[in-house]
Amino acid sequence: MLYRSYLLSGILILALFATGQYRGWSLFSASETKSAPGSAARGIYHK
Amino acid sequence: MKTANCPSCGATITFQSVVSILTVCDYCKSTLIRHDLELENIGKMAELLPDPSPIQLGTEGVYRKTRFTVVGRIQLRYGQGIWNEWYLLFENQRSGWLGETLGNYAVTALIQPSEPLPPFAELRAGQNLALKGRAFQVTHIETARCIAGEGELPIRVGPGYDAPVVDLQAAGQVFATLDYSEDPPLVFLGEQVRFDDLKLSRLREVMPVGWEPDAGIQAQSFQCPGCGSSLSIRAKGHTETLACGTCGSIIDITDDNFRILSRFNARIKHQPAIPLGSRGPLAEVEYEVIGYLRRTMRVEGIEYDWSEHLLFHREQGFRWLVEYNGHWSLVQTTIEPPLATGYGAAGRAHYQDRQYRHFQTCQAEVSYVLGEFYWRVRVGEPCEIRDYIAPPWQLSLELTPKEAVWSQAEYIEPETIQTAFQLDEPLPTRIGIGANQPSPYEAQRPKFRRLFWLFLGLLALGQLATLILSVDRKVHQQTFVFNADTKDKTLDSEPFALSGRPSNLVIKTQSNLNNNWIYLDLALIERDSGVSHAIGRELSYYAGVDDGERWSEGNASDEAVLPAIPAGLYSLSIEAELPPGAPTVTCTFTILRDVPSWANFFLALLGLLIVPIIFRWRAWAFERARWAESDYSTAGKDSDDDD
Repeated sequence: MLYRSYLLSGILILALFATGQYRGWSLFSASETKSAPGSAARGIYHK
Repeated sequence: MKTANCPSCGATITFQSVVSILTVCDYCKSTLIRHDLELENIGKMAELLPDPSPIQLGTEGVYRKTRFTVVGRIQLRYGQGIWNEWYLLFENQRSGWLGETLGNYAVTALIQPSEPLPPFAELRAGQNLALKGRAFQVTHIETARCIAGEGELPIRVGPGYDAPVVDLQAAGQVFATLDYSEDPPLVFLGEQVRFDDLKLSRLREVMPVGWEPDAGIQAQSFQCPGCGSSLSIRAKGHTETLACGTCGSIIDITDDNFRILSRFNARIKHQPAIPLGSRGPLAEVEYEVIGYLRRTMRVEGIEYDWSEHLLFHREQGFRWLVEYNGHWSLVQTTIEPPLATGYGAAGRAHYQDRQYRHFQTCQAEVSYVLGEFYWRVRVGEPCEIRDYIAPPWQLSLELTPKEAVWSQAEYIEPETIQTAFQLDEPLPTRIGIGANQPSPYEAQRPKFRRLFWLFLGLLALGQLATLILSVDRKVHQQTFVFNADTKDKTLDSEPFALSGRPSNLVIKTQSNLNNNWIYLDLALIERDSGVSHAIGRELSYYAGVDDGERWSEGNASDEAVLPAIPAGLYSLSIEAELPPGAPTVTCTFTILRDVPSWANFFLALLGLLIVPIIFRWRAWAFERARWAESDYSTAGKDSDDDD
């Protein structure tokens, strides 16, 4: 059971890794706010 | 060969061996001592007791390619029954002895020991002893009593004399007997042999019960002399005692009158999980259950007991099915003593290329018996038991002052027993982990290891491909100056083009911050569609000297990654916030396209490690549960290998 889980999860992880590398995904990228066209978002910062 | 006439009956007496000094007349049973030319009659020899031995005077065989003839015998009684020492005359006129006990055989010859031997009283079962440069283990200490002799013999024997003897075993089935009936003791050295290997011929034509070719187990019924219950002897000729389940009498079944040897009062009349008389195939041999006993040990005031079913097969001999907490093992005595080293947690035993770890040592005693046994069983019989494990195997040393018996057990699934003996009643439920229960994780470990290395290899290949194939190209660089005038203003970079598949974009910022901070609102705007990707970045850098020590904190540079940015014409829109009164800050923005990343690699590696970590934790928990029953409840931590 555990072996089967490992086999499936391993394949999934490798597939995600390959896709992520190809498309430039990264969980460690900067926090991004994607805005609609024509309304460029702005962060609010208070020091 | 010398011939003479019996001084008692006149029958012809022949001495085949030149070293024989005694013979028993075949006709009148006179014991005759040979002097130079005369025979001295020293009286009648006692009658031999009937025994199941297939060997007789005149039996021929081969040992180490040398033919021999059996020319004499001494029959002795010891604690476990009858013991025969057959005197062998080899065709090269050498002589030797063939010891026969409980179907075990050893060929030995008299030797001169090269070292002094310890006194009989100082020997203990289980102790090591050097003999002829070889390490032996004392396996049996006995004072046997001579019953009778027959044929010709090299020593004077007569009924009733006691022979203090010590059996020794060493690796390679080497066997020795020390006979302390003389001073200095006689040393007989040889090896254990299999019956079939001796290629014996001229065996007894009328075999005793139980030894007939193709005979099944002979069951003989009789009435218990204690209570009159009907009892059956299932392995007549092979067993010594029978315990009556009704009255607790332990009966000598080698005695024609079924003498009661002892009685016991059982608080509980236990029923064997496998009824006596049940037959079933185990390890491709059909065994019959002929005896049942329980042993009890006491640990910290709590009694623990386990059951042992004695199995019998006419050719394969005896085996045991031992059950504790629903865990079963098939047990047989070892053919040679394992090598035990170390003490306590470091205790190890080596046997047949396998190393066993010490599991526990306990004092146990027989608490209940039922059915037949091949020795004079007794309730209350104590012994020390030392267990060593290498699942699914287990070695056990049973130590009494007289005996050191090693046995090897193999774990057997309860379902196998249930099926083999076709039991209707369910077997005891398994509780916990058995000492030698094989770990289900151990069998999967190689598969897991292979799969892990396969995944790791593929992951490494993927990362290598990323490093090789990534463009990692600078697409734009521009410097901006921020001060009080640029407050609340948005500055835009020159447009720059991104091409190719959607990929990451790295915005590197290098500033001249000094004891200051700046907050940057960055927006990557796709010029055609207006879609923007906005991020906020704070840069701060402070440095100084306190008490003569330089310090600094923060960073004047920054790196931000925007994932999966499609191709297009872009510009970077920047809005900066500075503290009031801050000096001018210059920032240089460098934009890189398709930069290889290690983050996904390490994230995937972490993901690939999760299941193996769970696997290892479960395997560790399994071992911990196993060792919780041992003398070392915290041991087993180091039993796992690397995955």
